[in-house]
Amino acid sequence: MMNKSFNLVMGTTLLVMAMGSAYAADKNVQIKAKVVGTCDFVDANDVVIDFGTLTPGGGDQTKSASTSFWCSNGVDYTVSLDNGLTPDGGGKRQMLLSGGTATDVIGYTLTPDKTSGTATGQSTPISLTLDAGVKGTDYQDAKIGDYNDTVILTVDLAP
Amino acid sequence: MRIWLCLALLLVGPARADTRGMPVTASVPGSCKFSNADDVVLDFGTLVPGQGVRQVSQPVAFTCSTGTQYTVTMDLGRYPDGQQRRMRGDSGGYIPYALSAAPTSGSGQGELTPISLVLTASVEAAAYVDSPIGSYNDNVVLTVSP
Repeated sequence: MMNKSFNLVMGTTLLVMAMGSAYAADKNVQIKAKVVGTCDFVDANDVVIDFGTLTPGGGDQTKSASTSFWCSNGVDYTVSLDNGLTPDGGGKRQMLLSGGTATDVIGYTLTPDKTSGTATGQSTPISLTLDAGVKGTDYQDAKIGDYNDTVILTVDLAP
Repeated sequence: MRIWLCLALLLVGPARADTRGMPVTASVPGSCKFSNADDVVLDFGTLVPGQGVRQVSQPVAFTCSTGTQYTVTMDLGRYPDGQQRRMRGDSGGYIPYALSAAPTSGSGQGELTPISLVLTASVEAAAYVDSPIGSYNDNVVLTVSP
């Protein structure tokens, strides 16, 4: 009995000592993210294209203005413009006389210098120039006053 | 006969007490273990370039033997740049991130008292503004040592 008891205790002690201090625990930590495509303008300011003073008989006039946007690295983008607030029946953009009726308009054209492309990230803004034009014939009979229109410019991920 | 028997018992008694009291104490090692075997997942979800700093946290529970001083360590993951941990994207790009654990050391209170460890990962705004779109990941080994 005495020897058995002693051996059991000694055996347990040796077992514990043999296992030492290797009782650390490991676990995997997964870190994940998904970067998605986006586009945004560099600033929130409106783009203003002002023909200034139009004098009937002054002929065709053009004006342009620029803005910048960026899209996620590697995505394709598209640039689009709507037809403004007061287009004619054929979708042609027109400026409306302030305080005037629906027929007091001056037609104009508006064209972006690029309509699609591939972006390389926020650090590489893309410059976009909008060219606007009015024909002399579009304002030769226009009433005097202030004309304006608002067009929405959209930069989006290509489908 | 009765007298001899008593003497024998007296002799045996102290001897057994000695052998039982001899070993143990000093060499009982502390141990630590996690409360489950699941990976800890720190998912930033959708990163939209331009959205700014992002941070995610996850708790993980472990136990250590009562009185055991533990330390928490993490390796640098699979794609470190020096000491900077990074996620790797399926397009080959990298996004650096920070990873921390709290607490990083302490004293165990036994298997019935789990210790909650909070892991926090964060990415700076500048870390992903120009990152190619796609999925990014890394794997870090978290170790709790007595």
